[in-house]
Amino acid sequence: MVHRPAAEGARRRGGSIRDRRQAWIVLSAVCVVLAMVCFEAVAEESGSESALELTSPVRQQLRLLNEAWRSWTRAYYKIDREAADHALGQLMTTTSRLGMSSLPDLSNAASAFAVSAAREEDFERSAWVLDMARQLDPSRPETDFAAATIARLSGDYVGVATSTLKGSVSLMKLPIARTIWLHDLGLWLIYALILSGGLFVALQMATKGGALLYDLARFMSPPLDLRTADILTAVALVWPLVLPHGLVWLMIYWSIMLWGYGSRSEKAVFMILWLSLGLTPLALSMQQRAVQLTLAPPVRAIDHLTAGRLYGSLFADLGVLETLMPDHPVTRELEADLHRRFGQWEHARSIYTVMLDESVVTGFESAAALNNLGVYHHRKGEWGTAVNYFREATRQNSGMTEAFFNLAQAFSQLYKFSDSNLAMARAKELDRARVTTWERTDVSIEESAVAVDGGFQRTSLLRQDLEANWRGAAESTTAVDLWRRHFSLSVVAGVMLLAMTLHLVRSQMGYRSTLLEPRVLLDAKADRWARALIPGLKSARAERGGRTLIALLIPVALLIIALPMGWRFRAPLAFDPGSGLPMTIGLVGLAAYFLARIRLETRS
Amino acid sequence: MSLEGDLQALGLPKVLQSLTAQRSSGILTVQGEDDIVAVSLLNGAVVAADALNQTVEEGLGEVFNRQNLILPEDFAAAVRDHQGGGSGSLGDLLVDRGLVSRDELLNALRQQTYLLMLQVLTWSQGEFKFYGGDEISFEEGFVPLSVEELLIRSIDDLGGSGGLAGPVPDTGAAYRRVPQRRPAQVLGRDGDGSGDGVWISAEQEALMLKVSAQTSAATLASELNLGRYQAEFALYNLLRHDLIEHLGAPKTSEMPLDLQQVELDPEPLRAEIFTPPEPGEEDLGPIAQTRSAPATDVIQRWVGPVLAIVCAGWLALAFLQHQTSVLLPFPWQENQRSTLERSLRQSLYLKLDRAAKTYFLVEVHYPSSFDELVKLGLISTVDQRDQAGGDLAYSTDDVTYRIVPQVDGHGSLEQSTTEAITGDFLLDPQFLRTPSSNVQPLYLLD
Repeated sequence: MVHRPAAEGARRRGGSIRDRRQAWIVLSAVCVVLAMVCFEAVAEESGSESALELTSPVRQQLRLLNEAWRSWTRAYYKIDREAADHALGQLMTTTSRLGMSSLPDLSNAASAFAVSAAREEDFERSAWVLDMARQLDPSRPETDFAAATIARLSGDYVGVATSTLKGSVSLMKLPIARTIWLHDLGLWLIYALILSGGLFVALQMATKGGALLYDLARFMSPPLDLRTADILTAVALVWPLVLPHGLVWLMIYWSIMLWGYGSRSEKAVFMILWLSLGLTPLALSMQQRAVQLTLAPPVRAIDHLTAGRLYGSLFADLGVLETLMPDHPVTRELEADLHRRFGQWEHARSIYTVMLDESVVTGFESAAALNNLGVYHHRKGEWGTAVNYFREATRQNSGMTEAFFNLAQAFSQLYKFSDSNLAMARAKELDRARVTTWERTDVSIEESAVAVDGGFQRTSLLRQDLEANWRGAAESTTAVDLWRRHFSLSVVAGVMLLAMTLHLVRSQMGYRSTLLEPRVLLDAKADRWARALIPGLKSARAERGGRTLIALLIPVALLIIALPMGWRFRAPLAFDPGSGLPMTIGLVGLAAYFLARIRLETRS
Repeated sequence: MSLEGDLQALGLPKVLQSLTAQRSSGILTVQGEDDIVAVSLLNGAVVAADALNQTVEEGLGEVFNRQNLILPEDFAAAVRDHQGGGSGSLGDLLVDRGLVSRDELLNALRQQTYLLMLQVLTWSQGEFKFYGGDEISFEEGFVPLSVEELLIRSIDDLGGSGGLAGPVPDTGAAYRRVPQRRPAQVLGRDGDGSGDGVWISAEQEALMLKVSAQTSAATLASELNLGRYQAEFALYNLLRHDLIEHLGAPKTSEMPLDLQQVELDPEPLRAEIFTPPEPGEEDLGPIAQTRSAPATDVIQRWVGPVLAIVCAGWLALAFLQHQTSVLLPFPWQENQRSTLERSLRQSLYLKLDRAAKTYFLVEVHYPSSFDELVKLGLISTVDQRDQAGGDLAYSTDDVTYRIVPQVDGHGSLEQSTTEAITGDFLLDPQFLRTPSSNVQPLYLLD
């Protein structure tokens, strides 16, 4: 009896896919709807079952990984470095067998062990454990942040600074962390602008409020006596506080009333602030979408796979990807590539074959799949079939070095040396360095053909389509939100119109131009301290709007990062700089800023 | 006449105004932290200024350089020749060589004097002493720099750091008197300025009595024979003491008057104003004030700062308590606010999950509390609270955990999250279990 694993595998897989798809019809529908709100919901719904069918050898390799990790932890507790090194070697070999290069979760866990050892004041053990954490995943910034924690525990503050700095640099190389950091930066700037805007209005009220009160009181004074008019006007200046969300209405009301009193630059700043208030909802909406996408399990899986990182919930995350984009050619190709990396060639072959069939209809470029099918047959010694696939791959993509190299190998096995030489010459013409490396690799002739990670190379396309699908669905389901977001812009336009109309009316009556401030500020010393400690006061008096805003923006921005608060998005890292680093930067910055101001004012 | 004192007690603007008011001639020396400057006054106007640490050559060189009048190398050559024993002044040498005209030289000298005076005006600490005398040396043809011009121009050029702040009044606008707000006393007529109250010059009083909604201040100043800077300074002083108020454009149309043409009045400057040394003393005296005026004044002066402080405090409180309401403050943005909060919370949950799973790999169970994660450095104390500052209640049964944010002292289940080890091949022992198969085993018979 002929055992045909490929055919059976494909049939079993086909059956499996059908079964699961039937079972997931309802689930997928729920998942897709929920995904519009949050990808995390989808992650929960998809459960623990892996979308990727794992063969026994692969399961065995994964079990080996777990066992090696357990050996490593035993070695840690026994303080047996040799055994730990041996376990580490096993971990890395197994990872390599699975076509991956690093183990981020285990690297983090090793870092946690290192911190634990440092807490027990066993810094020697802590050092070698941390070294192993680096070997498990050299790209992890968490290892550096853990090193900073250990340095702090040992009292090495220079080490804290250098490790934190090193970790921060590594952080920028990690796509997810970098994206979150950039969005935090954006959020921080929006917060700083809005808060500074509020303080700008307050400062305008501080410097021009007296004049505003004076003018309003004069307007009322013929029927009323001066004092009553002043008191009534003061009350009239705060009436919006009785409204719901009174503070924001009060700020807007003041800005309208004070707009006419401002210089050109101050008027421009008011305009910028109003526009910021109107545009903030739109900016935030875009930002949230981008962050949610970045933190979504499918994107996480794509990022880790591309970098060759094998992490614990990889298969669950891939399940979410398949649920969200089941028919996307890149999803299929990615899955096939992963099977191939894991050595599950039969699974890979069946998916590549389906892809080729579908590419006839969809027109999706399938040179990588053709090449990989060629590699499959090459591995089996079916040189003729392999040549056909490689040749087709070179036809579809004449720049694919791997396909020309593989073609040369296959031709050579068929004794067609002139064709082989031609193909090899073309391959070298395309990329001599890589071809030389492949030629020097010591492998059997069956394993000499080079596969192409077509799915991995096209993950950006998958990411774009994920974003587009999600954006489209989110916008169509939240039309009311969309209206609400744009309504803010309409309100801002109304505010601008109102301010201009009021100014036109008021300019007929004239504005009081005198600066009315508490007499205590007429004392030079008090005034100097006021100028030093109230950012923007000096510029507000001189009616320099831009300078006033910048003078407020700097300390406000520093203050925001100095406060240990949860205003920002968090990157999913096991170790991070925490709130200590930004707090230090914020506090030192604030101290330097105010010291410089005091020095400047006292010197002048 | 001799006058001396401390700049900190009596600012330089007041000293200059006092000397102008008395049409004093002599040398005013001002000793600051880094330099000493001698200011030559003739009939109350500045006609020369020299600094100890800055030569005339340096000052003039800078002015010429800014104005691009002379090539630096030509100027340097002239300075060398002059220092090498050339006769006459450097200015004469420059004119003789045809490098500048006489008028250009005089303008440059005036600009240099003005720049030096600006520098002195920024000094807040130091001492001054005035030596009266008629023997003043200055460049022939030098147009005196009136104290009014100096102070008005300094407002723009120094932006308030020269002792005077605020906008320069618009002479094209109309003004009106503010009745019974301040009793004004005229220097000379009512005293020598040493008593309490607001002191103004006779010209300022004349301008104050003439202002009306129909006529611009420029027209009135012209009628009173006041130059541009005299008019601006008079308006500035009257406004500062709340004796007049700004109305905007005059109600009747009139030809625009350019006060620049009467600015350089050949007549000696007349005494105009003397402000008492301590501004705060203005509040004490005036019997003529109505009873309501001080209270009104206090309200007007304090209402802006008080409202601003309250508002800033409120804003800070709003940010500390509910940050998202600062970004999205409008009532109709409630939905978006909660979406933003959910996004922030989700990112926090992901971070906590990462930390908890790392802990699981170390201890083979989830932590019993967040403190254990903090102890291992996996999270910071800030991570134990949500974006609104509310505590996160944590519970676990070793293989699953639940986080419930506390809102108003109660757990919010709809904002909670539950995580387990399922789906993670490094944590879940069941994950790698070989699936049971319904396929009958295949027996190969030989």
